[in-house]
Amino acid sequence: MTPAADPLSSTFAALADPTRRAILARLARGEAPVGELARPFAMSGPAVTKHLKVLERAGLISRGRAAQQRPARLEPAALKAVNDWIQDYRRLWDEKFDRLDTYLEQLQTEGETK
Amino acid sequence: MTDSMTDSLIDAPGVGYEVTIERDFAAPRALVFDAMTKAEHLARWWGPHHFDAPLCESDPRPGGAIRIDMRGPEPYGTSPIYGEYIEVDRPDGFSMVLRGFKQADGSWGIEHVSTFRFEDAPGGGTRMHMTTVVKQASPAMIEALRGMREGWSQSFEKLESVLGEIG
Repeated sequence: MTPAADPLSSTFAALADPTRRAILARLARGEAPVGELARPFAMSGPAVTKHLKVLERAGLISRGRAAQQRPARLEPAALKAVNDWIQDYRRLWDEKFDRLDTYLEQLQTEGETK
Repeated sequence: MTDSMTDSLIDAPGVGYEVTIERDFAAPRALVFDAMTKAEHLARWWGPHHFDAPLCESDPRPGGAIRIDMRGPEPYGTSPIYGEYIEVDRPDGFSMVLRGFKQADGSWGIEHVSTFRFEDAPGGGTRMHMTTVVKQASPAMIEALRGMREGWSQSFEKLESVLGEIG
C-alpha cells in the first residue's frame, strides 16, 4: 500500500517504532538538526536520516530545505488524525462492551431462573 | 492539538497505535471468558449497537479460527471478519488477531492484535484489561461506522420516545 493511498496506515507504521517516537517526543519541544537528534541514540547520522524519512513520508514531520543539516519539525496534523482515529476506535470497543455487559446480566438472570 | 495530546501520543511506549481499555463486568471470570470466546455468546453482542452477527464461528485454542459476519443496517451491509486465537488460557485471558474490511487492493481495512486479561475485581465480578495493537487501519472504515451510527441513533431516539408514549 502506498502512503498516499492510506495516510493513516503509514502514520501507524511510522509510530510503531520506539526510536521514531522518541524523535517525535524530542521534536515536540522544538525543531532540531539531525546531529542533535542522533546524539541520545548512539546512532549514525544516516540511520537517523532513515527514521526521519519514514516520519516525513507519514506526514509526521517536515524538514527545512535551506540549511545543510535540514532541521526536522513536528507536524501535529498527522498525529491529530491518529488520535481522532484512536478515539473512534475506542468508542467502537466501548459499545461492544456495553452490549456484552447487558448480555452477561441476561445470561446470569437466565441461569438463576432455570 | 494540545501539548498533553502530543505527549500522550508519543511519550508512552506503544501509545499512538495501541488502545488500552480497562473495564469491570458484573460476572465471574469464566463466564466473561466464555461470553467473549464461544460462538453462541459472541453472536449475541459482537459489533456496535444495531449490528448483528448472522455467521459466527470461534475455536478458542491457540491457532483456532475466528470467523464473524458483522451485519449492520442498510446501507452498511455485511462485513466478514477473519482471525485466529494466539494464546488461550481460560479464565485468565486470551489474545487474538482479527482482520476485516478488505479493501479493493486486497489489503485489510483493519488488522489488530488484541490481548485480554481477566482478574477478580475488588468489589466482585471481573476486571478486564484489553490492549489492542493496530497493525493496519483505514480511516474509511471508521467514518462509515460513525456516519451510520449517527443516523441510526436518531431513529432509535425517535423509537424510544414513541415507546415511552405508548408504554
